[in-house]
Amino acid sequence: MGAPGLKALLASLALACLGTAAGYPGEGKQVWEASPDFNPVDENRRFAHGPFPSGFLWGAGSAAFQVEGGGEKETGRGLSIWDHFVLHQRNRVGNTSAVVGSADSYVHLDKDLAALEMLAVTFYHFSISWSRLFPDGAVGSPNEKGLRYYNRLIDTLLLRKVQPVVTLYHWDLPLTIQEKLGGWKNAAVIKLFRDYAGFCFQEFGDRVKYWITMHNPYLVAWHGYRTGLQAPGERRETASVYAVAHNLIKAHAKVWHDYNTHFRPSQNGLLSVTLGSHWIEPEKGKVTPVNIEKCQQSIDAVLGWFAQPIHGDGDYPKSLKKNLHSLLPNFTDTEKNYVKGTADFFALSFGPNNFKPPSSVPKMGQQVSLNLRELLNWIKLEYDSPRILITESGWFTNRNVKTEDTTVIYLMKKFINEVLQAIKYDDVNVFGYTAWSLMDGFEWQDAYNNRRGLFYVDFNSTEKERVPKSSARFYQQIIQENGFPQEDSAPAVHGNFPCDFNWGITDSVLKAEVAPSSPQFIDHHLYIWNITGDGTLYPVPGVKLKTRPAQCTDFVSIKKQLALLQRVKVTHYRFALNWSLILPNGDLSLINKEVLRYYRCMISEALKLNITSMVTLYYPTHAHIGLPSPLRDAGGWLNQTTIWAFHDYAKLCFQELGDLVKLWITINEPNRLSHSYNKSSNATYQAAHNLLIAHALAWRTYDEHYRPMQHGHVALSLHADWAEAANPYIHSHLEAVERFLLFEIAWLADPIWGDGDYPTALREYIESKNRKGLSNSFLPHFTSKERALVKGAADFFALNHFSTRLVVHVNKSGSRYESDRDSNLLLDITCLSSPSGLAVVPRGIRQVLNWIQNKYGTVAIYITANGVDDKSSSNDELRKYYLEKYTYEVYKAFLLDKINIKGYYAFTLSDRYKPQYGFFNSPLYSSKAKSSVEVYNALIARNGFPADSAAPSCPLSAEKVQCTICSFLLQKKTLIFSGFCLLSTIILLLAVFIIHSGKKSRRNQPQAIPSQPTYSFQACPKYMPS
Amino acid sequence: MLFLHRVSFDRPLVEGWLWILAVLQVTCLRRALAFPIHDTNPLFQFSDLVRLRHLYTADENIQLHLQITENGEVTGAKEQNIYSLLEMKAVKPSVLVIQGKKTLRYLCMDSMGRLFGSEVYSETDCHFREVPLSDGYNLYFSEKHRMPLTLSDVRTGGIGTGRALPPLCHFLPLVNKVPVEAVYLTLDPFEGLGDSDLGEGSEDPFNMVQQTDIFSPSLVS
Repeated sequence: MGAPGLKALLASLALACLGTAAGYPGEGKQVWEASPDFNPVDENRRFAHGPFPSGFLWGAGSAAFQVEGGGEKETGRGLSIWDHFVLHQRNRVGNTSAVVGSADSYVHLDKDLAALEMLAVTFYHFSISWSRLFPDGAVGSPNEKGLRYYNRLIDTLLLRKVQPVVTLYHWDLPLTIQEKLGGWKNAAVIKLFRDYAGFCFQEFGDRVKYWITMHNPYLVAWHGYRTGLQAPGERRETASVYAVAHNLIKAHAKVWHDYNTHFRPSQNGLLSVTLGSHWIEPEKGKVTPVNIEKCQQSIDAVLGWFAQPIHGDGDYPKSLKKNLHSLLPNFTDTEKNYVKGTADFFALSFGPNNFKPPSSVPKMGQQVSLNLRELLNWIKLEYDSPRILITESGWFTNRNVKTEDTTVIYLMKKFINEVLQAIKYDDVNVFGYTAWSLMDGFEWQDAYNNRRGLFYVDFNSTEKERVPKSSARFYQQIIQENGFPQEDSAPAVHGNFPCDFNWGITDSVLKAEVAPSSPQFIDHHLYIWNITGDGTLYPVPGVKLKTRPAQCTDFVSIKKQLALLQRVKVTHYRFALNWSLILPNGDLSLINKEVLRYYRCMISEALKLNITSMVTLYYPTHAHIGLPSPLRDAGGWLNQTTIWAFHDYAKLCFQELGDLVKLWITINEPNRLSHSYNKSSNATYQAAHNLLIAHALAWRTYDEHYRPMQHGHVALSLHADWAEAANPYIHSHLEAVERFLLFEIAWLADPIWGDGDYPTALREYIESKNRKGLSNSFLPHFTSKERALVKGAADFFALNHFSTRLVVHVNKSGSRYESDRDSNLLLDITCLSSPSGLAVVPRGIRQVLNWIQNKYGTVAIYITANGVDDKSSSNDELRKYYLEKYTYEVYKAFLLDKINIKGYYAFTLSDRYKPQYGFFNSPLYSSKAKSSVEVYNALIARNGFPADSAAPSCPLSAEKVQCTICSFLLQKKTLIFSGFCLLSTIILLLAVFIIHSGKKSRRNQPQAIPSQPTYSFQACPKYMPS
Repeated sequence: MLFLHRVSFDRPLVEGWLWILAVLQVTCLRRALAFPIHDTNPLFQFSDLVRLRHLYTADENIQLHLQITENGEVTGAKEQNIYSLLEMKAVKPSVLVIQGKKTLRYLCMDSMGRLFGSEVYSETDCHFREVPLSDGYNLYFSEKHRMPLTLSDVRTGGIGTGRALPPLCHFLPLVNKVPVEAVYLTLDPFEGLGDSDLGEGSEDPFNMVQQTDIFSPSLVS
């Protein structure tokens, strides 16, 4: 557990201690105080799997004015302020041609009920139109038709086991009240609202158990009376706006007291008020006390304005009082006590209306956010863990989107999952969720320009059918499963990869040291350092020294590179040669032998450490296309001469390095070339065509001339990400996925692994687009000779896999490669993703491996690059997670799907500059190892996923055992040598002594007395210099 | 010396010892006087051949770091910054090539002794001979034009001219303290794709749907 974890623990402990004090205004700030440096792969930060608590309420919502229709003449409904607003302030609302009769729920109630039935919701959240019951607002004799309509609605719902959740006032104030009294500015409205509410309780309360007095009073006050964006469209001074809110709060409180005293005893229902809010986060993640205070003020100014009086201490938030002084009405102590606690649960609205227009959201310089989980936590902390019903949530599409509301699915997924996370990990007591809205309707100030329904309604039709959108199907699924079930419930598998499995690491073009590292090895001069004079070095004339012959240890960078590889303990190292450095002229007229020597040294030195090299000949990047400049200037891959230049280059490399290299990649990701040749689709196709032929030529040459001697394998590596339909409910998206894989992988894999030509489907698709005039692309044709050349020109399938893309079908026209594919990509915001936006979807690698096997048969497959970017420079949690999960999926593909996987090369060895894809930091940061090195290390040591990791999976080969001895000898070379010297000196000395003393004793033999033993050295006369 | 008295050796031997001691002492003294700052002579470092340093110079009035600006001017900056971060690389004994890390321009001197940051490297203008001084500072002379590197406008003195050196020509290579991310912040087209500003008013507030090309990490690095 790191520092953030500890902090979180402390925060939760502090919370536990504050138990009784929780709910004090300002407590919510803790939400922002939590460290933003959380671990991205922490379980409670990721997408939550699992069910919602049993009994969780699932609902859909609508508002009377948005959907009912039913003109005032035939139904007896009175006009509301919105009728008036739309008619007289057309300039403020968009296309308003068909307000009356929008979705016509008044007429097509059965269709609403059928829609609810399809979703299988547990409740329906609708509102009663005040002016439908009482056309002029005053409670008298109700409009019978209206009364009948609501009774029928409630009864049928109950019959279908759908709970009604009823809002009394969703913004459609009877126009008479506005015109006679000035609307909510006038406290007299409170009395009228009480009467109306009382009537509803009386009339429907026996069947309705969840009552909402009013919907989002913040918007009523702010946009109705301040910005004028909503009815009644007034632009009043600040004081009036707060007076309106004051009246709204009081009206709600009165109604609650009425219900509590007069109706609850017999009806046993619950009552609350829907409060809406945005969410906000410290600007640019700068969690400073000042920014936190501003965030708190921002939420207080919207949600706190109403919530603190009702759910908190009965008064307005301090920051409001401080900023507004006398403009803010006062609650007397009696009023505070009267208002306080007038809600039986917290009804929350979290939708686009609180974010629109962006200029009206009080941001206080901070960053607006759509994080529902944090808002729920804020409510929990601020108002003492209330029970929360989300009475409105969702997003919108523009009017042109019919049933394919793909983006809405992902926002819904995000919101609902954040609710689950809040319940599961933060103990927030949410008991229900309302998807807004049931069907398309009138979207207030946006009129019919936006759609928010789960069901599509064609407003111009007479039948107004409710057609389920993708989001309806998605919501239906969530309700059915009561949450998000685990994706993969298959039991864990255990075992090892084969013993000869390549555990590698991938590197881009290896920067060759062009000169040996120290001048002393090439300089023949002897110098005199004129240290007392000008301090320079003067060569001694006439003296020429012999320099040491060149050797691999001259290259310091090789040693450094190998040290990194040894640290990871990989068996294989994949790196790329620098074509333009080896052949600066593009042809064989100039060969930089020194660079070739460098690469040879790299390979041979690595081999000494039992690291085998996989060498990539050509590795273009965004920044450098990697061609020798004469070739690049002559048109690069669009020029056929480049093909032959590559062939010569490849041949040279096979010749020079082939004795040591057994795994060759000719070209890295030719299918990503559209980045370099993107002027037109034809350029992209032609360049790829030439690349394919260049590869095939190189392969043929190797096959014919070098394989018999060198016994290596040659292939080209393709970028092969997996694809899934962004919207699985739409057939066109599923087709787009097929097409995506066709354009991405099969395009270049089919000629080699298939019948020597581009996929027929690809050709046909492009041709059909051409016929429709949507494209003028031309896919080159292979001559029969080329076809024979290309077909089968690879010894294995090499793929670089990084992520899974979500594909959206979009009809496109244009002359670029990307438009031929007719698809866009979608980023799932709920999916774990890297900083650069790569989705972490481990199952994708298994899918793509299976796809290849199904399409091209049992071929040997090497995963030549797989990795993710991580911002951390030391503890790269995301990379560790990615590595473990992806390799596990590779193992499953190997074990369960019987895919012939030969090797896995992690991407990449080290960062270039800042922390990104590397296992090691950039050499600029002393190549410091990140913690993922240990993870990969352990994985290699286990050689997979054995049940018992202690047991060694592969027997050590004799060679290896032998090598442990030789490496020991090699390591202790100097020690052994000096030990030997010491020993021989001692022996020599001893010998001298023995001989010397032997002479002495022989000389003294006559005087010796056998009974008195004397030591030889004692017998020596002391030598005294005279 | 007592030791020498007590133990008597042959005369020539004693004399020899005395000689060695004397030489040692003298060299120590000399070294103490003129020990060059560690790591300044290109022959001293084998592993750290390429150094990232700031060239600091000062006189009584001003303290400057040599910097190469985006448009190729060579000026002095009061504080270390990304433009004063220089890569110093030995190409021959005591001859260096100096390159601005941010701008990737080479520090060069024309035949008039004027300094400029050049995008192209030329042996004539961009080789500097490093002359360590006893106080730890270094002098740098254009190898070809034989004029000293200086941040002052005074252009006098050169090797063998016998004239006094201009001010602000003593440089101390200082270890870098500037965070290097800023130096390497290049325009990465796929940078920060995930955390763009929230478009609250938009139907796709997270920009989920992207029309961009597919990018492959292996083409980034």
